[in-house]
Amino acid sequence: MQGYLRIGETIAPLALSKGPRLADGRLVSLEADWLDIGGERWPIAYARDGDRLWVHLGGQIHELAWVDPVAFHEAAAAGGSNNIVAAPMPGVVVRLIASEGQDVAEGDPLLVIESMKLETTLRAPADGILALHVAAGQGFDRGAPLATITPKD
Amino acid sequence: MTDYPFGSVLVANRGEIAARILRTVKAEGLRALLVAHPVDGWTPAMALADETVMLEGDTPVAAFLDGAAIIAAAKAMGAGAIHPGYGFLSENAAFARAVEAAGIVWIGPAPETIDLMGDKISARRFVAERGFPVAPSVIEEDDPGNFAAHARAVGAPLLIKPSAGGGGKGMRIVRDLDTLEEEIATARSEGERYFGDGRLFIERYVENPRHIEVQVLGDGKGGALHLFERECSLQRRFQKIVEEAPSPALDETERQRICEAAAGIARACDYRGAGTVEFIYGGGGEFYFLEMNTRLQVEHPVTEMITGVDLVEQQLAIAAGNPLPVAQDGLMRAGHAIEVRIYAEDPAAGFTPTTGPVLRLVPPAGARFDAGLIEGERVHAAFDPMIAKLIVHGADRAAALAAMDGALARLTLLGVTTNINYLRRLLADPDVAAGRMHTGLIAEKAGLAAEPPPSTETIDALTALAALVIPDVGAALDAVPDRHAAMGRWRN
Amino acid sequence: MRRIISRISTASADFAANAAHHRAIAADLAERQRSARDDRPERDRERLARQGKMRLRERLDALLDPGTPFLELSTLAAGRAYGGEVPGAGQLTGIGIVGGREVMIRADDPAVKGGAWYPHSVKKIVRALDIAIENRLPVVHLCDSAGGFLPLQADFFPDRYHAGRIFRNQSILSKLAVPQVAIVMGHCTAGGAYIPALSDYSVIVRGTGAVFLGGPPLVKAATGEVVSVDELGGADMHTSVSGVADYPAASEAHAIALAREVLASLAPRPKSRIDEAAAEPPAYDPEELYGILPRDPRTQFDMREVIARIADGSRFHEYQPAFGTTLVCGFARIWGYKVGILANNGVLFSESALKGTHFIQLCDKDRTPLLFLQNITGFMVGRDYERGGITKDGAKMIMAVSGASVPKFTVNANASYGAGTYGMAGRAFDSRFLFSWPQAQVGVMGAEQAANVLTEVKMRQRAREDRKLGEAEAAAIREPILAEYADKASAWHATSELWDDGILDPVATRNALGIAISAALNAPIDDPAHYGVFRM
Repeated sequence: MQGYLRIGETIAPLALSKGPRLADGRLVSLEADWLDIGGERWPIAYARDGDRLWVHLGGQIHELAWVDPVAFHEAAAAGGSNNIVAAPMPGVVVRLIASEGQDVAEGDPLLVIESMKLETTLRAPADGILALHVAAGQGFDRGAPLATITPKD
Repeated sequence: MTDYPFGSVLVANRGEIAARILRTVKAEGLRALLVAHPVDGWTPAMALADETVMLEGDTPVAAFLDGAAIIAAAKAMGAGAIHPGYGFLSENAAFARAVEAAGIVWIGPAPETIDLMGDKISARRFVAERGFPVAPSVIEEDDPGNFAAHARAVGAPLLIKPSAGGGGKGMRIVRDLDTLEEEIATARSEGERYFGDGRLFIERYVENPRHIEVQVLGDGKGGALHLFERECSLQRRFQKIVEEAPSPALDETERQRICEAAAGIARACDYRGAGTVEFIYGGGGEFYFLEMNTRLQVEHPVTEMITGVDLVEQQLAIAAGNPLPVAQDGLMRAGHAIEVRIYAEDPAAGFTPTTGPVLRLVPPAGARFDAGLIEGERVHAAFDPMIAKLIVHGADRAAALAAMDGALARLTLLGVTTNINYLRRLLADPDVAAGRMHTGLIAEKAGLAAEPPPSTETIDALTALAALVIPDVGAALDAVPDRHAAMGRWRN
Repeated sequence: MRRIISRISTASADFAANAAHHRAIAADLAERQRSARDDRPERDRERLARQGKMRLRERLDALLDPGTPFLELSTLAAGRAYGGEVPGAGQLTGIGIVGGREVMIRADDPAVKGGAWYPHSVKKIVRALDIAIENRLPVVHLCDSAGGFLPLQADFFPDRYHAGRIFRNQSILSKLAVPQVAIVMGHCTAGGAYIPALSDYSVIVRGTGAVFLGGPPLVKAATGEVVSVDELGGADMHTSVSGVADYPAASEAHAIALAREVLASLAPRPKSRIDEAAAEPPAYDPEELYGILPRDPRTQFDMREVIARIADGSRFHEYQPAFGTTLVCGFARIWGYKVGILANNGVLFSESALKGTHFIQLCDKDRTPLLFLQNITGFMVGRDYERGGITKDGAKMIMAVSGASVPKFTVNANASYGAGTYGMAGRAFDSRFLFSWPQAQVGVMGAEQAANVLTEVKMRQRAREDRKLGEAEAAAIREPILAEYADKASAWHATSELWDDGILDPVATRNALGIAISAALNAPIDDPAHYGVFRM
């Protein structure tokens, strides 16, 4: 199988065959602004940004992310083993509270970020050793990994 | 063709409004000047400007708030006038004075008018003294020691507002009078934090109010004209999302009363230029003055569409000393217009702002699309997340809603998450479609924020596209030998 | 290449009767295979479910590339052994596409006696690895076995081609630079531990996978040490301390995804090139094979009719059409690949043997793989034929079959007896793949003939003693032999004993051969043979 598509909260496995064909056998092709699926044509516009695919289809805008099969299972499993503190929105690091390598407990404040005039304190999601991936003054996009907590073992 | 005492206009703003204003500046045969910040990259406004000067500042926002730098740029470019747009320094009386002191024409009302209407308390007092309707209220300054007692007299529900605030920040609704003192304390500290001013006033809160505002033009000599009303009840946390003209809530009598009141207020303060008087409207015809915005508003296009008047052109003409374009009874309205604000935000994630590259931007044909960005540039976190406005006109409200749904469906904006899908769901909501709106409606319809799961047909189509354009998927499929692919899923 | 013109009447009563007969047999085959693949004791299913393990067929589906074929081998191995309690010998083997690569998949079935290795299981595994070596096919091992079935150890441990051969074969595969990926999804105990250890890449599932030479009970009995399964041989220990395994996986799905990723990232190896064209389905409907094959195996049928339902476009270029007519030789394409076909239309005479020998050499020089369609009872006997040298002509054919460098493929379409089996590339003659059709028989001679010979021998013995053989006595000799031969000559027995690589529905033969030929081309083809001495 060729990985998974994350469409919002939905995860769709990709089990296509060479052709390419969908799982039900319909042959698909793309020409200019049309997507042909087994003879049915859908007007479509798309733009790819790495593994993210933006699609305008059926009067809706869809944001897809392709997930490699191994990465998918690693992420599914990693619920416990590594906790990543991701940026909830784009912004800037105002100041660091905890330091690299520090032994933190769940709920301990780690750093303060600012976005749209709102200051937010980010806290440790679990107990463990802190690894910081940003410095004070650094800007970031939403979802960027700001820190990782690795459980001690 | 109007005679202008200035040969050029500097637009001290950015994004969609800078481009929109420059379009009219050029149409009027004036030289189009612009200040810009490098973080914005190449913009439609820069493409229109005859000359652009780059601003510097600790942050991009700070750059557009640096009045001295803007005036210096104006002088360097030989600007005859400055148009401040909306936001930034547009309602900053000190800046307006500095512009006039520099011998540059200020496209806007007199600085005294800005001062008057900028202070919520003084504005309210001015309007009430002249017999225009205001909500029962208490101004803290009048009797600070008994503020809470006076508030109790106004009765619940009531609204605590910071007197120096605007744009919805720092306001608190109190329904339970037991919590009044606590809420007053919180509102004061927020007022100090956000606006540097802890003064408060309290007024009666209208439940399920509708936000109705009236566009006015004043000649600066006591003459004023209204250009009908707009309804902006679809708001989220006091930020407008959808605006329309006219309001589906008003009958002709009510319309007359509200619009005349607005024109009357503009006359009373010798208003010069374009302005908007905002009212809170409750069912049963009660309406109260809320505030007056002494600038062009974001949603001005819907008024332009139903009246055929170019409001920026009128701002320039009035600044040039011209009279109002027409008498009140000579102004007609036709049809219905709707505007939606396109925000770079993620409704499904609590409407948090988003950033990203504009990979593809195809505005829908047949609609007005005022945008501040172009394909190939980036939406970044430095400024307000509103990136564009989409405006349509129809013979009536139903036709306008249908036109807007079609326009949103055709609008292609790829690369950054926006509220476009959400806007379609919002406008399709039965209450919105029936015109049953109030300022709390969007909060009640919180479920609309979540993106509904895709249908299996959509998943199939997206899967098909992934197979065709994602290299890893294509490579995995190409690796299968042709003979085996031809046999398909055969088993012995 | 010209199309074969079919001469049979598909409307005849005979055709219809044959078709009904063979469709029923094909249905029987399908049901036996379904049962061997899926029927498992409820208790074993529940145990797997409790352990959070996927069923073997689910593991296979997750491993294979979607929309690709899978040629399963020896589905009915051990079908007639161990009271039928070890279907498929508890093993799954077959050729599939994983990550775009043709691979041999070999899996323990934990729902069959816990995946324990019986003598037939070991034979099936060794055969799968022999195929992998001969065809240079990467191997994916899905390991989940309780270990050797100790009561029968004498039949699977000590001899040359017993269990040790598995590990020898793995070592040779590695020496030949043919990669193996082991996915440890259960226990690999004692000998079984060497499968991941001898694989180039190994993935081990956390929680259920374990590799150790002796499990906790054996360790306790041997040294008194008390240790858990996980501590002794679990995923984390082996992937971070001992280095016995390479990739820890959090789940079976994760492990399979890792194995697929390993295979997809292997450098593609060039395949041997033979004459290929675009594939074309046969012009005649392959289902007509059911009507062509006779109800009674002793009834003759024309192999050209069979070829017409297997070959691309039903096209066939016949070689020496007028000489040695009991052996049909010629060129055809199967799934685009050009092959040289030898097919029996009767007993082998000297002329047929000489024609076959010559044709095999032609194909060898032409670098054309050989396909043997067997329906042979043997070489002709009798004084004139012996004087004509039929024995040395048969020997020449055997010499040619043995020495040919091009890949050989054999299908026993109906009968494979005596020396005819040898000349027509039977099991001993290193065909890359050998399949049987369901009604096919294989033996030193036919049941009738054997019964006649033995009865004749007994009659002569009695005659020397001046006695006659009574009818009842004759029957007492004939009947058991007929029964014994009928039983052991049948395809069901042959496949149970792994004398073939599986029984094919005749209609499935074309696809099976397409996959087999493609797989075979992963190995280099030696230069045309220098043969042994042809007795002239």
